Amino acid sequence: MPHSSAYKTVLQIAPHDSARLAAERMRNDNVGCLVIVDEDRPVGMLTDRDLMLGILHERRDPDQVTVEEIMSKPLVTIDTLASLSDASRLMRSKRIRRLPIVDDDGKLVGIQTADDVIELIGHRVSDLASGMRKGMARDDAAGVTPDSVYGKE
Amino acid sequence: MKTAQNLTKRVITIHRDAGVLEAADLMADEAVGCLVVVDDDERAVGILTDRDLVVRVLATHCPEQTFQVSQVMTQPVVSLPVDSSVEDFKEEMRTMGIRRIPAVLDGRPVGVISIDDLLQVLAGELSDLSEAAWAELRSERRAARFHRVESDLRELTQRIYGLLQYGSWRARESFLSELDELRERLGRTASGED
Repeated sequence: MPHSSAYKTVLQIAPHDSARLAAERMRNDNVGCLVIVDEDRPVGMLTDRDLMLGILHERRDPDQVTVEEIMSKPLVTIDTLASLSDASRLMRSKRIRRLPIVDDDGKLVGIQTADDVIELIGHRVSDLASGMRKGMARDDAAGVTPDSVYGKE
Repeated sequence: MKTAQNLTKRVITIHRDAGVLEAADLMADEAVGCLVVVDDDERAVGILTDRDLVVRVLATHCPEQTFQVSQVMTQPVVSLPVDSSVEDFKEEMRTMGIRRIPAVLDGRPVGVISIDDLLQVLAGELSDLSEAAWAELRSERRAARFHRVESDLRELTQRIYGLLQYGSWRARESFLSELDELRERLGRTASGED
C-alpha cells in the first residue's frame, strides 16, 4: 500500500515538547497534524484543532503545556501489509482521517491519510473507466453491438 | 441547474474586531473549524480557520490577547451568491485552490460550502450509479443499458479526477466507503463473477 513515508521525519514531535514548538512545527512544515513519537514508536496524534482547543480555548500557556497533555490517544495505527480497503474501512469505523503506519516492531514508518486513499481510489476508478472506454472504442470499430456481445444474435 | 442551496452548512460568523480567544471559544462551542468574519454591516470580509489561529497566533510567541480576528483572518474572502450552482462552487474552488466558500445573500453569509460537501454529492451519485449498474446487469436488456451507465460513470470519474488535481482536502467517511464499495462491485462485474 503506497503511503507518504517521505513525510515521516517532518511530522514527528516528542511527548515532552511544548505546545508552542508544535505550533511552530506545523507552521514551518506546513502540516496540520503531528505524530507524537517515543523511541520511534507513535504514541499519539496532535492536530491544529487540538492546539486551538487545548491551548487557546482552555487559556493555557503554550510554553508550559506539553504535547502529550493535549494529544489524542490511544492511537489507531495500521501495518505495512494493510491494503487500501483495510485503510479506508479503518478510517471509516474509527472516524479518523490519518493512520500512522508501523512495522512489526511497532515503529513508525509512514502515515496514510484519507487524502492519499481518495487519490488512490480515484486512480482505480479512472483506470476502470479508461478500460471501459477502450472496450467501447474497440467494439464501435469492429461494428460490434451490445446484443452480439451478450449473445442475442 | 442544481443550486448549492440545500448543500450549505450552517455558517458561524464573528466580527472583525473580536479577539482571537473569542474566536477559539466560538469554534469550540459551535464545533466548527471555520468562522466567516463580518464587518459592521454583517458583510463577509474574511475567513478564519483553526489552522490560522495556530500558525498566525500560537507560532508567533506574541501574547494571544493582543490579536484581533482581522489581523489573523484570510482576506479577501471568496464568496458566491447562495443561488449559484454546485458547478459554480466547484469551479471557484478549483481555480482559486480553496476548500471552503461562503454562500452569500446581498454580501451577507448565509451558509458555507466545503469541498467535502461536493465530494459527498459525487459519492452519492456514484453510489446511485453503482446500484443502477448492478441491477441493470441482471436484467434481460442489460447490455444496452450498461453502455449508457458506463458513459455516465466515465463522465463522473473525469469530474472526480478534475477535483483531485487541485490540492488535498478533507475526506469524508461516506465518500471513502461509497467508492470502496463501487470499486469492489465493478471489480466483480469486470471479472465476470456477477
